Amino acid sequence: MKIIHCADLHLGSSMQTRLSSEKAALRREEICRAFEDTVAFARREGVQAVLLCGDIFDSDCPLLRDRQFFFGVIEQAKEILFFYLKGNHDRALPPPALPNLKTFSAEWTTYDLGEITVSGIELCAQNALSLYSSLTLPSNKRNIVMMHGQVAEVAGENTIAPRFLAGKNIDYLALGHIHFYDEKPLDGRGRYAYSGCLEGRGFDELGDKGFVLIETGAEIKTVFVPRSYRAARLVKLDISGLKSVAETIDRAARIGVAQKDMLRLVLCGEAAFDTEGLENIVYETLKENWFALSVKDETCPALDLAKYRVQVGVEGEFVRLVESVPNADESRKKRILALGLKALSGEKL
Amino acid sequence: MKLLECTIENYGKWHKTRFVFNGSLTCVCLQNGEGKSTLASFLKAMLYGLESERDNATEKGERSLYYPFSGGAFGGTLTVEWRGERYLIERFFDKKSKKKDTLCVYDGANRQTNALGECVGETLFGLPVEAFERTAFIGAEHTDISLRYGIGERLGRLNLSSGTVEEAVAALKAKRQELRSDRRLLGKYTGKIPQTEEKLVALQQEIFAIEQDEKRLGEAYRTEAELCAVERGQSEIVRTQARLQERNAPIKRGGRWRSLVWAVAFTLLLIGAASCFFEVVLGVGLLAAGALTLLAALFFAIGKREGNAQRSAELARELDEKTAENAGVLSRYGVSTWEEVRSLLSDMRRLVSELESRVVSLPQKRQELSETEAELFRLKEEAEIIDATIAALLEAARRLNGKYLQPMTESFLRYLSLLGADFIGGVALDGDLKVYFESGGARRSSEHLSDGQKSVVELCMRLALLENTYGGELPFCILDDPFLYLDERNLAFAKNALLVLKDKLQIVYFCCHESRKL
Repeated sequence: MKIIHCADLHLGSSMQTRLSSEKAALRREEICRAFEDTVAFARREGVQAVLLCGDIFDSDCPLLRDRQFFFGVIEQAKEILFFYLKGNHDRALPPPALPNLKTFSAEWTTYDLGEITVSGIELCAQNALSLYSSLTLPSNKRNIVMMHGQVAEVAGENTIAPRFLAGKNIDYLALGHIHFYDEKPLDGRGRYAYSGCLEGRGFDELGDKGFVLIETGAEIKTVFVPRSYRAARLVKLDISGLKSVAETIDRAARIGVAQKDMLRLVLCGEAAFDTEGLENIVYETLKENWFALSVKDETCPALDLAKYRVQVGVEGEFVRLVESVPNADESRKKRILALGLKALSGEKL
Repeated sequence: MKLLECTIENYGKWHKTRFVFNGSLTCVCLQNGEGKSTLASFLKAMLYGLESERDNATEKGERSLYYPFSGGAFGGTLTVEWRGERYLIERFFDKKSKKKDTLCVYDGANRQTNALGECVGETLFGLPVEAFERTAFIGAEHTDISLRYGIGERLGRLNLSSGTVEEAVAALKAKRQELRSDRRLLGKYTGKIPQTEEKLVALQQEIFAIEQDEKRLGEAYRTEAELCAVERGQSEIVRTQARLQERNAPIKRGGRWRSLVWAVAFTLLLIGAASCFFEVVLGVGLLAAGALTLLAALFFAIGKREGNAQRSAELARELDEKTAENAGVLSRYGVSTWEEVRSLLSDMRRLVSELESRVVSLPQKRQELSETEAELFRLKEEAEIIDATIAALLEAARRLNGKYLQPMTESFLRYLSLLGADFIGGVALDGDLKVYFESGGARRSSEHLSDGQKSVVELCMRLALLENTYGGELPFCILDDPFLYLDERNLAFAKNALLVLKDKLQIVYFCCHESRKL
């Protein structure tokens, strides 16, 4: 049996990037299309069940159009069973009663599909600690469990402690909440995995996104299927040795990230020129080169401190004083030194 | 560092002139205007170069002042001894721009070397040119202003401290003010930080209001869904009523067939009864058929009636439940007629549309909040860096002052003694290196000293400064007629002091009168 594990669609959310309203609308549309494509894939590949592990919507009160879209897709894919577990963002409105939509609650619910069971529970304050002892699964079946929360050592209202689920005959613990794919062993029998989200919404959601395709048989096999329209990429550009803003822009423009993607560009290294306003200048010049661009200036000024260290005067005293501060962040020291020397030289701050 | 000799090719009025410096004390007695200052300038220029001339400068710089009228190579050579090595510094200057000046340094083996770097003076003394000028060149300064200088001002005039630190700190504080003012204006702080904080609060309030709208939207969705359910329920009620009526109708519609069956049954019974009189067997048979038909009709009628009754009862129950449910919903919303329901539904839909248009902006507002929080963090970090820089600068100035205070006090008192401080009597320094003296049991300021005494005191101060601002080897010292204001007795002391002083550092002593010649 083929099953898709996905989560964290966050339909209706804003993009966590600086986008024009047109691009933001396009991105929201793409997030919806990502779910449609996933279901289309499922229909093409003969997938029989889709596990939706929470945060399908971005709000406890999603807009009607988003609900209609989501449940409409489910309703049309009649041959597929959808198991919908609510996360921490999509709790308020109950889902409609559809024949192929299976839901969960604050108590363990198990659906028996013959050789496989699919169980799930929606975390809340009342069940956060007791849920571990109340789960009982048959050892002679392939048991899939769905939950939504942060894996941690300690169990809580929003945290899941996998160690308390070890030895419970779980073959696959399908999780939602973390927006990137990750899989780890649960115990000698099973494993747990985050599928990640289908599309990244911001620069803290880097890399490929998609879903996990599960195949049950003698044993459970999983493979991550990357399917996102666009990826968020992070590139650090060291500008040490570059002589001007123009050179920096030229170097940045040649970064090998696809135009359709979203780029977070971090400028780092020692700048031999004045970097005031560098972030904005680079952003404004290059913002059309990619779908979305974010620029962060983490450079520090290139300072020739050697000559100051041996100086008798106040510059020398200042440099020696700042450099002698123990346990201080080096980047912070450099900023203080650059600012102090600039002020002492009489340059405009 | 020791001056050995210099050759002036062309510099001011000096032309192809060679000076040899006699060990530790060289006395140059020239009349006014004969080139003492020119020589001093040449020595400084050999070590530190000359600044370029600016076209719009109101005063001529040294480059213009000393450029030879006759043209020719403008510069010369200076031979020095430094760290036991001999170096020949050869410099020639352009008329206008220092970019066109040339500098060559040769070692003792006459090989060109880079040992003295591009700025020879800074390499030799570790000091910028301003500090060199104000330490190595000592004239007859005896003004009240000089003596009133504290350590901060003295070091500041050497570009070592205070002056530049004060300006730097002022500039940083101005920058800091842009971020957050020190004082409130009309009860509020001004600056980018308070502005951003205000924006943050406004956004939070806006988001809170939209979140309330979001909750109302959820309620509105539920209400709309309920009213739509009531509408559907009403349609269901109508359909159920129709079905109920249909259930009752079959009894009438099917009556014709039942009547026929009844008629057949009774006919069979009558004929059977009548036949009994003629043919008993036939009669009995017909009677039996008639009876069976009657029984069947009765059974069928009873069964169907019961079935119909049961289904009707179910439908009736459903109808009641649905009606009650709808009534419950309607009473909750305070409506009783269908017009009112439709009107309420229409209002709900308008409300949903209105709330959706507000709620749709919530994600962007949250994003804007996040960006504003990041901006506030950055501004606060920038302010904190400025504060830390100001503190470090002030501490550096304080340390620098402290570094010089004790040694300069000791040096000053030593030079006072060397120059015969007894004649001044009770002169001392305060904690800021300002000069005072005691008289009549009270502390008096240096303003009360005579010009001659001021000269000596200032000279001692300058020598103390000279001794303590050069970390390594002491440079030479040009004394440009420093004893101008001394009387005969004090002059004798001063001359003796110089003779002692020459053992500590090389002195080039200028004077313009035989009486002050050493």
